[in-house]
Amino acid sequence: MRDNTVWITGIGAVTPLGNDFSTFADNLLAGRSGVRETPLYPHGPLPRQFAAAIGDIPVPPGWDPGSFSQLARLEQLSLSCAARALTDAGLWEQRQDLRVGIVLGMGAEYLRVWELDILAGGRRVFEPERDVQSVVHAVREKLDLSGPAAALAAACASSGFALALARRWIQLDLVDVCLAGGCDLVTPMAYAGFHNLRALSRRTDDPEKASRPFDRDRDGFVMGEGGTVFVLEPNNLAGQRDARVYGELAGCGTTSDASHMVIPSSDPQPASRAMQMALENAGVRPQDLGYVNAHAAGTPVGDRAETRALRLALGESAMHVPVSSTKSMTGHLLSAAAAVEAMACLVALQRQTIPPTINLDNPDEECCLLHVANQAWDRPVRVAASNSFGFGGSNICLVLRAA
Amino acid sequence: MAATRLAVFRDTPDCDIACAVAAHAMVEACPEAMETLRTTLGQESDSPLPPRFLRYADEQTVVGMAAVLQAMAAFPVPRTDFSDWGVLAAPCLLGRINGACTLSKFQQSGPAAVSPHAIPQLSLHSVSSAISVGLGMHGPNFGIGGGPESLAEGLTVGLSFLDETILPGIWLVFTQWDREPIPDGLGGSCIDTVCRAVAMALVPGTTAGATLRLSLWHPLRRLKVVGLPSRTAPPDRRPGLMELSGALAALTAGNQSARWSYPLPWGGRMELLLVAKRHMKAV
Repeated sequence: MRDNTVWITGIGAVTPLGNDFSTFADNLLAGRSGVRETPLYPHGPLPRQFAAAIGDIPVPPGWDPGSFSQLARLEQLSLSCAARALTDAGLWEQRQDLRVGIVLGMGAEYLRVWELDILAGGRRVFEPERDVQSVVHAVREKLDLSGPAAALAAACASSGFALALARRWIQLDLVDVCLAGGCDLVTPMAYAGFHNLRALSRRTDDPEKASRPFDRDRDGFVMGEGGTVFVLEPNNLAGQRDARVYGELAGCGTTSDASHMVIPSSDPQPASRAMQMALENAGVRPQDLGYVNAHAAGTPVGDRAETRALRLALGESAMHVPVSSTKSMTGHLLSAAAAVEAMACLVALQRQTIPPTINLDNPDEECCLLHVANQAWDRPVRVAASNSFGFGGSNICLVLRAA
Repeated sequence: MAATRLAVFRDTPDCDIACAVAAHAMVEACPEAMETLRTTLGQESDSPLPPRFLRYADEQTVVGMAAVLQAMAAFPVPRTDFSDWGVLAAPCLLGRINGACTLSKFQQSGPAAVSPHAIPQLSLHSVSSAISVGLGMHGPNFGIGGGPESLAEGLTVGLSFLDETILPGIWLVFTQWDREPIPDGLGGSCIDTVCRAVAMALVPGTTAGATLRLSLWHPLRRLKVVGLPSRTAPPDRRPGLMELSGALAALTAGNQSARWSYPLPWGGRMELLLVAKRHMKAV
């Protein structure tokens, strides 16, 4: 074990495929879709709406269900994930004795908060005096954490940046332990915004088949919601307490396209460079990769752009590394996507099985990769990488390694 | 009964991070001046910004961009290539005026009225992305904070993210309204206010420009005291962008150093020490 090693020792999740690691893993490897019809405008002008939605948010252990239900939904989600991650790591009782930091990917917190408030009959957007505390600080305060806290946003790559920053804080000894991940919700206005951007799939006749990354017939992404928060812990602390580990957050690489506010760059170089940086940072070669969890949301332009970037980054290994997009099952969880997909990589490392891209019936010829199509593959995986790209040209790649 | 935490600190900081502020700038604009700024930026023949690039941008993005352009012009090394720099921006409550407008239209006319620009322009990443895209910077770009604690979050994240092995420098940009606007629902504010941005060019080490030293104290012990009001101070009582820009301006005016200390929302304490280059050895 190396001094700079940062382990993932706890997970708290609320996803369309389950609210704990084991259930999520079972559903992911079985190729189950979390996409369902989700009426957001029962009488509205938009066609049939669908998303990978979550149900009731689990009340953290020891929390009063009544007071929990009074919290805003985004705060419930973040608190549930963070508290259960600490419990899962076995650090709940010790959290006040440690410098526990928290970094959450939250792409559009206030737009969501103002929208949900106005839909509930409020006027918070017109009442600035009500915006006194952001969700990440509310969670920090409720969990009584004494380390630094921050919300980060890089659109659909937000929670990847949260993980990268948390790892850096641990390596700088700014914190003893850091909670990191992201949370997001499907709201009517967000749905309308992406619909009007023509980013969403319009396959209204069969929602479960709508999210089809890399497929020739893909026509946009399907929104998902939920959250995943990890406990990141340095080697010395995890070793001292003989902590159970899910895997190592071994490397991170970040770049920007600097090309367009919405459309991915036609130049594969910047995204490819993020992958190469992550591999270098983790000290692994392309041929060491056992799995790549692609960003691939199912948009015509984005999946092709990522294919070009992957082929450039991995070179001759590109056709030998299994690739899948779990968004085919989870939908696109926006700010939370990178964290949920990092969890999918941990599933591959833990179960030695690679989750598939479902609905990949006719692979696009311009997305030529070693696809894990429709069925999970049993295969040894020692190192996995996860790509996340966001509006505004943000690229991040995380490398995760088995314990 | 209200309760608060009192913190006990060590004499020495738990963490000390320093970097150099190679250039900085502050820009302010009232809503009336915003449209001029929005259209003027990028119109100069030598501007790196595409014309009309900020047409749909939030006010905080406009002043943030203006501050970076101004700081770039003041950068001590001519013709510096910023293409590998990162952009980190910490706006505060971005998008209230335009968000209120969008929400009003959404309520009145339904989902078709939601502008496709709402998501890319009114999200926490919007300021950093606009600067990265507009000025062609390929280092990482992301938004920080977004709420009333954005300044503390931005300074902590900005300094800790600057890894000299990866990045030649980062633009750390703060934006906020002097007084939060009260939207009129039509794209304006019911109160007079000013939108402000501070941009700092941070480079690793302490050999160029002023030194920015961030010292963080973690509380040694935290005592819960019942009967005192909550420790969360209202936003208008916390140190703001004016104090930061004041400290930077003091250096520009020839002062030797400026110190700025305040309690962090997570119970620690932060101290920023800005020292002019010629006095750096005394730090």
